[in-house]
Amino acid sequence: MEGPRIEFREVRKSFRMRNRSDALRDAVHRGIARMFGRPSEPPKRHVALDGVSFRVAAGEALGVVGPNGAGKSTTLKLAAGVLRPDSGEVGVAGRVAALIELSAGFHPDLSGRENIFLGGALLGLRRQEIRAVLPRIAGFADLGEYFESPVRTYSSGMAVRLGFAVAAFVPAEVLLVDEVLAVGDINFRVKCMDRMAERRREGVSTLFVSHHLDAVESFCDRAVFIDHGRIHAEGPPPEVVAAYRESQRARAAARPPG
Amino acid sequence: MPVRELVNHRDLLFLLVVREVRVRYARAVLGMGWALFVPLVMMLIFASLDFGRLIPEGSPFRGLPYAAFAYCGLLFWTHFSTSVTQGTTSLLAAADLIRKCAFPREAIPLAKMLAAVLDLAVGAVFLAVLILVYRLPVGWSVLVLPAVFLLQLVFTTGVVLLLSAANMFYRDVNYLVQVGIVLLMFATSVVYPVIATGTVAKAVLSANPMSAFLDAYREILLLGRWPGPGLWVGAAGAVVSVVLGVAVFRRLAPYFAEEV
Repeated sequence: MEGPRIEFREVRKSFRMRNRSDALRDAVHRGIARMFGRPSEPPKRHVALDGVSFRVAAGEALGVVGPNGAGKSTTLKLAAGVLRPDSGEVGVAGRVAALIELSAGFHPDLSGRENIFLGGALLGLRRQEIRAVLPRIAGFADLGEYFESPVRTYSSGMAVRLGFAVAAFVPAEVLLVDEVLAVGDINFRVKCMDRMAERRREGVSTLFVSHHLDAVESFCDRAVFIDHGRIHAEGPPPEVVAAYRESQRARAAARPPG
Repeated sequence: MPVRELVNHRDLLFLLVVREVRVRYARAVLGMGWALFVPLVMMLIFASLDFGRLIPEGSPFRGLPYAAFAYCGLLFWTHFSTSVTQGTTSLLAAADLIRKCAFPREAIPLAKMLAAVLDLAVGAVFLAVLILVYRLPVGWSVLVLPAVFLLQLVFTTGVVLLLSAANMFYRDVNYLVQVGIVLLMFATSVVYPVIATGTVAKAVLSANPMSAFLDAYREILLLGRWPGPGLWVGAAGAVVSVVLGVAVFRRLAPYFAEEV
């Protein structure tokens, strides 16, 4: 039995709250206050994740559900290695392909082909590795003659398809998916889900964030319900989704009308 | 560790440089001609202001054609100033990537610096023309020219890493850099040899690594000599700069995604 592909242990992450980018002025103020022996107020912090633990095994898909601002995206960014936890541990074994935002990293002046190479290189792939999967990426993105045109000439749907295709076919052990189903037409959505299922059979571990609760129920092996940075339920997706729905109903009922 | 990470991502660095070069000239009619334009126009301005008279009696560069003296300095200085000004804001401009992908962040400012080498190569063609026209004596010492330029790249790497990281936390850095680079140009032997009166000013100005590099290029390319001992200042500056720049960058890089 090999260890988990993704492991969060008591992960805590907070962000400095700022309303403007006046960091230098603040630093100067703090410095002056300190010089005169006045203790300065530490900047306020927003706690996004507060002691979150879970594991995802090889070939397993874990769904993450919760309201906006619950900490779902922070979880994905920690798993992607973009953010570093304040405390606790984030362990990820293998290469991570992230569908965090589909067209991130695309340069509008470069062609679809050139952007595939750039996207792959951002994940740490060598050119040969990208070349090996290029035909499948091109086939999946289905851009026709636009493949060699600058991405700025693409429709938004085409850019999304290209972004998904890159993450869907690059060799990786971990796939991070954030709300991909909100975009694209029905055919493309079905194609995406099929491809993600295929990868899972290949042993790729998936962290799946979505507001499409039906998709979470049908696709994931397990799910967690996060709210206010804490895990409120964990287990089989139907139960977790039910717990989430229940809490949302309770919240709506508690809210004064109007 | 950071070096290994960057080596693993060497194709990323390569592709970012290619992207940089292509995008820079993609929709410019003059294309690469612009690489020649900046140092050439600056040289013409300073030549028309008769800055040549600022080369003092007793300087080894006294008697050189001023066009060659100034263009040689401006060409290599332009690489430094372009790298620094563009590198400083490069991480902020790549905010989208930094928020979403985990990759060695050094690749972004370093790509700016390496892409600017192409500008230098294009501009060097005109320097070669000047050397031929004025029949300047280029000799074997030209073999160490790449080593001197490598030192300049190492020095620039440290500066660019430091400033680009600092600019993520204090946006004021960019404004300071814009002013600072102009001031630094006049404190460097770019269009005239820097001469200082007073011991303190002399000590400060002669510790400028960029002056050391520019003087070395002129000794090699315009006088046909081997670079003098002043180059040690440049070598020391390169080491200090890269050690400091890498250390600061590595410390701050994990927090970039929160600051953009």
